[in-house]
Amino acid sequence: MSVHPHPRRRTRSAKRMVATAVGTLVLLNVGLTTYLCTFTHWRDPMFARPALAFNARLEQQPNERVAIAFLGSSRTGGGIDPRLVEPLVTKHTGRPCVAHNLHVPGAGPISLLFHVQRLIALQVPVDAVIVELSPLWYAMVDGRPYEYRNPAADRLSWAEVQQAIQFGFPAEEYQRDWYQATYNPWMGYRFQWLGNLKPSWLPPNVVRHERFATATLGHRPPFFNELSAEQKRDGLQRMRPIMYAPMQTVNFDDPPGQAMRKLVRTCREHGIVVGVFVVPLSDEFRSWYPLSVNERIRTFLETLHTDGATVSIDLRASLDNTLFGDGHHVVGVGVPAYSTLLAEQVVLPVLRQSGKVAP
Amino acid sequence: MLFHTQLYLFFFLAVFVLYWAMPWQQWRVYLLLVASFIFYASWNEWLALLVTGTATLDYFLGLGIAASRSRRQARLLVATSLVVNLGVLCYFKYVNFFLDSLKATLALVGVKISVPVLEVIVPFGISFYTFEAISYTIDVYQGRVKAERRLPNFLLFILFFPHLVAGPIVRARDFLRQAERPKRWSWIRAQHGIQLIVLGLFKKLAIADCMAIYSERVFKPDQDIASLHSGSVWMAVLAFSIQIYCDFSGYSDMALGSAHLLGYKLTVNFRMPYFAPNISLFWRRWHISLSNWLRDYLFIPLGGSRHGEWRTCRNLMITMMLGGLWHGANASFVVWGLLHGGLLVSHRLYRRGCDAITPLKRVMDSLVGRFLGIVTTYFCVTLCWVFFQPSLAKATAVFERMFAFSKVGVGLPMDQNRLWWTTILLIAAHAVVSVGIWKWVWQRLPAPVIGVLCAGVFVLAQVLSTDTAKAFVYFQF
Repeated sequence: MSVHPHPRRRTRSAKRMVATAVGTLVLLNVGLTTYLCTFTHWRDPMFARPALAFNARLEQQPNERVAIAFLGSSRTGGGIDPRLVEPLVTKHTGRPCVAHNLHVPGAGPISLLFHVQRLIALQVPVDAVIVELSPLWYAMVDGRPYEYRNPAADRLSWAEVQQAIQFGFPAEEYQRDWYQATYNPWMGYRFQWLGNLKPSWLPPNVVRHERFATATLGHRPPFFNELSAEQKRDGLQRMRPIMYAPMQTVNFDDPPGQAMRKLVRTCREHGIVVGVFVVPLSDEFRSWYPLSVNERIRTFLETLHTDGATVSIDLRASLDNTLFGDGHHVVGVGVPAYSTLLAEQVVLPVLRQSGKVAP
Repeated sequence: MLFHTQLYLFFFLAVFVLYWAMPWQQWRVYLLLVASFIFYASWNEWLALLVTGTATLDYFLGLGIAASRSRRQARLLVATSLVVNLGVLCYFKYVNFFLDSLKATLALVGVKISVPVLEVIVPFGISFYTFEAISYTIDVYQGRVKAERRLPNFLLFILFFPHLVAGPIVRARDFLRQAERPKRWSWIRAQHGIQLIVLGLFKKLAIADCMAIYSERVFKPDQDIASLHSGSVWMAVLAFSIQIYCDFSGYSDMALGSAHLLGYKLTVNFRMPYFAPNISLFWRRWHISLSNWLRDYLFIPLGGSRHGEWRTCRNLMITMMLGGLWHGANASFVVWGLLHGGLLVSHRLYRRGCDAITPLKRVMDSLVGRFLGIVTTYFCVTLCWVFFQPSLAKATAVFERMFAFSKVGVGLPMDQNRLWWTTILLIAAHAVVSVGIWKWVWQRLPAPVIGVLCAGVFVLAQVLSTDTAKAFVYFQF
């Protein structure tokens, strides 16, 4: 309190203090909310930073370059190193290639749809998007998409929240979380801000994004370069209780499948060619899918092709078992093979068949 | 409903607006009473009824003590209050501990019994409001306070939501006087209240919750600490000492601030205890309301320091042992209490020795001596904190790892810079406050600057928050 011996002056001083405190707080909150409603991509810097870094790279490149964006979850993030893809594509097409890995851990088809919409909104001049299809993400659990909760409401714009609800996310919960984050933005977006300002101070269970946006072109190097057979077996066994049950109920007619189809149609409407690949898996992990789901995967890939995907391919059996750490994420030594596989089996066919490069 | 959640903010705002909108003091008492009941019932409505029931019983016992015709009758009523309150406390909090202790004791003499494990929900804050109720009936008996005639006022004394679940432990004579006094809105009080709430929120969200990430890697029951190197364990213990201080003092600040905004003044519970130059002063600065309660209702009735050195030391040990048991129904808390009792006894004997040697006394009273005293006290208190969790085995394991001085193992899960920066800033803040610089500056800052700073600290507290709705550590008491 100020040194004002007279009670009236102390009272006036206290009134000013309270009014200033409340007013400043309101201004700070309204200011941040307005900023986030205007620049909605900053709600989710985990996607926005690499996307803007990609855009900046494209602006520096000659017009004849081909721009490739990889979209997916941690499987794509850890498996695909654009620095290995670019020279391969350049070598086979004769054109400079600018590739960026725009994965977000935990992203399923609904999140990937939002990512494509954001790329279009940010006017990133991408030629082709290569999109991961992980069948597990197409399961419904208790009437909700399996990827429910991975795009937290605070990372979505209001329009995306409404879309998510249309695809089966619980309306009341998501809208409430969005309101709480938006109207108390310093609390609701604290991890986003801390991730930008002082990422090393983030709690250990919050995914850090800042390191990978530019230095490794979005690729998230695997934690382990190599693992022993026993460690790999343990990793696989840890996955089974979590993933086996939903893998039995995958049905592409459900909302996640509809989201993926909408993604393909959106790309087609905006002149972006799409390549869809089913992620490589180890033999044992792959064996957890029943025959009925395998048949559905095959049918769905055909459907996506009809919708407009230039390439839709099942790569589940395409990598050696020894390259996986837990059956679906590769270890460090598996990254070159994963990246080469995607470049040769998806990127190059997409570019050639769409006419983006000469056959 | 935790103090640092949005739900509490909306709840408090609603109470605040209605409270000051009411023109009559007694209606404000009723409003606070209803609000306090709702606050507690939001956890468990049956336990809210239990608290209200026992408080109502103490109200009638207080009236009975005041109206007693004989001291014998009054003593009987006090004994009834003690039996009921301590009985409820013992049942809900200590029954499984006592049964396990009985089983262990009998096993020592070769008798094997099987004891049931009772599934008992411990009412939040039971240790706090039980002590308040006991202090009331004893104070009425001893004539220190008049028996409260109005039931709502008395119930508010026990149930007042800012201090209900984790203190400070208020005295009836302090609170009841305030309850009957008409309240007038005061901007000065409002400023003070807001400053306290913002400070408490910062301590809780930005510091305590963050330190918990480090300390839980060691102190959580399922954590294996053998894989950590000794340095990590030392850092986790340091983090725990910061966590427990900021968690509890942050809560107290928010309680005091909330009370201020409603026109009530609660007792200050912490006065920079980690800057205490000796253990005796530490206990006059840490959880002040509890230390005062233990002094007035346990230490002094046992004889205090009036009957020679040996009995004083004995009384100290008993008081601290029971103080430890108050914190938790586990042998490790008893050991913690005994350790502090031992430190107090040692300090007492050391002081007598020091006072007898003038040059030594001069050195210990000098700046260097005080600094050494602060460091030593903090070090001893921090080592004692290792026992301040519900497992003696875990405490032993932590000590073993600490004093193995092993460099083999992994580090803590989060960047250690945050721990070091937090420690440095806390020390700097304490130093600035203790030499009076902070007060000098604060009194000369223009009011709008203080307002902006408060808003900034509030925002910073949220940005630095590491988790959502982590329960206050002291709620388990």
